[in-house]
Amino acid sequence: MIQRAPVAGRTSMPPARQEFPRSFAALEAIHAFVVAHLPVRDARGAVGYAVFMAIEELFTNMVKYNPVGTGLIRIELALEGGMVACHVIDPDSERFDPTAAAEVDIDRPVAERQPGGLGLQLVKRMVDSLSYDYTGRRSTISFVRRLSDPVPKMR
Amino acid sequence: MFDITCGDAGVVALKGRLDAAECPRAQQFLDTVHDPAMLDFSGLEYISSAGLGLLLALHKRLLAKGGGLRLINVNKYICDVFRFSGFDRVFKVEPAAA
Repeated sequence: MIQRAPVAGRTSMPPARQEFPRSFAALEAIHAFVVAHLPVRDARGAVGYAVFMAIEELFTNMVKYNPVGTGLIRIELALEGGMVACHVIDPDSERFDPTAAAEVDIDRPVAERQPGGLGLQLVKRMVDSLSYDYTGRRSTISFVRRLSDPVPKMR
Repeated sequence: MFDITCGDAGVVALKGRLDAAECPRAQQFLDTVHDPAMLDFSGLEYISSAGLGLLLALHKRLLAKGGGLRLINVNKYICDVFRFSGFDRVFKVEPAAA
């Protein structure tokens, strides 16, 4: 387990990684991990919001849809070239490619909208790129978010 | 950390971070809301899709009784989440003063 002091003003750092139990109760510790590894100004702003939200949506999907998977879920964060790069890794899962998930029609009338299904769509709106790798039974979902621009470009 | 309380004027105040782990507690509280409801987000820092689901379910339940949700003092990051999800057209959303 790696714990670091909050990063002040840095735009690069080596990857930090930590493993978390397959439980929603881990979200508080995941938030602390994210805050500890982003520059302070970004952790409290749009970038920190986007990075944590993307991690929460990806992590909770792994917990909800693969509760019987073995092993801890690993999160890796790195700062490089003004970008946050993140990997969320389930070591024991079926294949599920979030980049291929169907879009939710957000223009439907409220009577036709149902709770749920928005998480991956929000991830795609809040990060600059999203990718997926499935090797063996290991799912790795990766995303990148720019530090400098509050508006993500991925749609 | 997350907290939800009801003030004297019937305004429901949410504070902290409403993530998936906190939704069961928020759900338990919101299940007791039966009138057209005003939710004060001035202390709410964060909401994820799990929290959005709670709000949509509550709004639909209130709509069926002729009411609905009104959200006030919403921070700019949460306003973005509402915009990205189309929820800015579902609820009445009043941003926090800049």
